[in-house]
Amino acid sequence: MQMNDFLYHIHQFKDSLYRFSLRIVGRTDEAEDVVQEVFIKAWEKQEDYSSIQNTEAFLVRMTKNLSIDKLRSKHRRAEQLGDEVMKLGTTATPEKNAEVTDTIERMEDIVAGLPEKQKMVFQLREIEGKSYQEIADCLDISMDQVKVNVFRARKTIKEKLLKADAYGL
Amino acid sequence: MDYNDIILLLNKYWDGETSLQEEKILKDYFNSGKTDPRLSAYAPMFQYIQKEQQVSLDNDDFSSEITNKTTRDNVKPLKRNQIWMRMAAAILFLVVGAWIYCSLQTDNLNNTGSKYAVKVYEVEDPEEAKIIVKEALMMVSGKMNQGAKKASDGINNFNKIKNIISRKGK
Repeated sequence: MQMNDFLYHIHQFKDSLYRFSLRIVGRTDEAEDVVQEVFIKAWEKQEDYSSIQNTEAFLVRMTKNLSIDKLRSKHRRAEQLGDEVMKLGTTATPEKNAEVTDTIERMEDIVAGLPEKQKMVFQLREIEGKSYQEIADCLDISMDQVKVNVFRARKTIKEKLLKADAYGL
Repeated sequence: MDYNDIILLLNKYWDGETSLQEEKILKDYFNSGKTDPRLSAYAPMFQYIQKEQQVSLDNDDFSSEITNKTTRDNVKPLKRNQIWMRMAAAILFLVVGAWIYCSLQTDNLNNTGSKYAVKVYEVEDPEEAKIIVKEALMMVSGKMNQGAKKASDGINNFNKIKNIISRKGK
């Protein structure tokens, strides 16, 4: 397979892999490095890659492992998303912008505070719209584990949202 | 969908029982701007999700950077059998070349009677001839093994250094 064909084939996964890695490493530059490394490794393993039935799950698993390695090697915890969420529509009023920003930041804090597995399941289900089976394949866990993590993540988010709303935050 | 329908879906959602289609209904509802005030506490979650889905890797040079990195790092170390085959070919070439050279020199000496003549033994006994050839071949073989080992050691050291440099560069 030529490089151009290869890049064309896996280009469709670039953004979802980037978002997934960003959820784990918390930094845009590091997430981009991870995705680059994933693509390079996938290219080097062409013979294995071409025989894989679930390409996306293969790539997500590699992204997960490389992201966790990067996180652990630098001894850092995942940080809040930064500049990406500040790109708001020009038609919004300053007050509306501030309110939406606060909301987004509040959710960022909540999601960032989830345990690692719940964070990954949250990302794949809520953001990427994956089925429970697809999530199980990507993370190499059972369907039951996926359901449990989905349930726990949503429960935590619901409680914190209600608490914030009750305090008028 | 009215308030009661949304409540039913939400309860399923918190229990992890909704389908992807049902979750899309909830996302669309909470991002429609027409959220019932009684449900406003949950709106941030679905607004956040919609915002996150728009995050993308914005690097126009992404593909070319990957191409450059794979091209630059594409010099793979030779496999062992390839190394030995190349060494064997090189040594064979040298041996054949030396043999031809020596043959020519011997012929020249025999023809010209040069003062640099080498003593040429004429062996009449086949058994003696066998022993002499065997010893000669063993001597050549020994020299070849020494050379092959030195070349192999050199290549192994080169590969080790190359790997160290590659790791440090990442």
